Amino acid sequence: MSSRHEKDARRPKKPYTKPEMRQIQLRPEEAVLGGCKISGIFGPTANNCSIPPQCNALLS
Amino acid sequence: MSDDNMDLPNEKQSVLSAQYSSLLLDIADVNIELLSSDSRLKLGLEEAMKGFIVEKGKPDIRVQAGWSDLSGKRNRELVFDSGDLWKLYSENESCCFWFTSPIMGAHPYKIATFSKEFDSGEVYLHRSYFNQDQPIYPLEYPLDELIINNFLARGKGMEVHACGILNSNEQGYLFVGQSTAGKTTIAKLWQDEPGVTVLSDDRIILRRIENKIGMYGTPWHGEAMLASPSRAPLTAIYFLEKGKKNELVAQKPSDAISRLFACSFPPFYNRDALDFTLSFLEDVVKNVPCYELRFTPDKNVVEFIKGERIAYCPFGNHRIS
Repeated sequence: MSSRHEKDARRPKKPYTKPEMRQIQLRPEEAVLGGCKISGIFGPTANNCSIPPQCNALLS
Repeated sequence: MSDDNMDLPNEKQSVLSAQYSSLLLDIADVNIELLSSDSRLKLGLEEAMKGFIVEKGKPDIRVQAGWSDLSGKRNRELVFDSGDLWKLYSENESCCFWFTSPIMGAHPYKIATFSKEFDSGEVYLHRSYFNQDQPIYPLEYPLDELIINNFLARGKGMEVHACGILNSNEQGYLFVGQSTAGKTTIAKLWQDEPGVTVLSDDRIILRRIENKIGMYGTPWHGEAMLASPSRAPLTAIYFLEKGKKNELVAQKPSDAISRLFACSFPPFYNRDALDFTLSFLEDVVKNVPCYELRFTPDKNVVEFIKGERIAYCPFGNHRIS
């Protein structure tokens, strides 16, 4: 039975790569479902964004 | 296009015509029972949601809805401010979402209180802000998604900002991206393909289905208004990027996790839920090949994806034709 050390020696060594920082874009208003979602538009640009559709404000 | 896809009317024209006193919805194998606790509150549903009604099933989440006067003061502790429509408070160890709009007035127009596990809750609407003669969907955006996302984050799965395609060979493709990335464009390009079902052009739920990662359609659609309650095993994940030609770039697991996380909706205000979400994402990228898809917005991208032969080996050795 081969030892763990022998197994490790047979395995090709992975070349070292320097860790790198990569910035991933996060859109808070989308991520927290905080804005409006009308026709795929998030945020205050959408019409009537903050009005629930059945409210009195829309009827008056 | 498959018959499974619902052809929805314009969202702004959709009328909550049907009236219910109780409803059972099945979204990604999560059954939500919605009951009106007040005979004067008639429940209605948005068009896209109607395809998710089921006749019977054991509820995973029970929600009671009613009218109330929400102008009174309550003891509560702020947990999270979304910056717009809602804030989350802790109230007697319950999770309490307050929805306000300056257009409607100073008081919350809706308060939803849920148990810690999100398996039961109550939703109250501020009576004077609404036309009580009309049917109402008390879980309207974003509450239904908040409930499902919180429930899934307790060890069950997650929702991602993506378009999901199920092809005739029972293969599931996930096209991930934030708003304007091209999800709706991709959905429209696929929707007329024979045997194809678009699960959603905007929101997909990922869960383990037996020993595989699966994806589910949701009622929360995008501009193409495509929503289906179908599900599919997840064959490949594509992060959308507009390009001059169609090409795939294999993603390292760490990059794939980051990109999926940036296009998901986890409860950022719950440490355990975030821990689960990250471990679930690790599970996803270990089992499903992930690529950046640089694409041109025409039919060629559909043929390009169909022509790919993806043989998955964990951690990056994906063979691409």
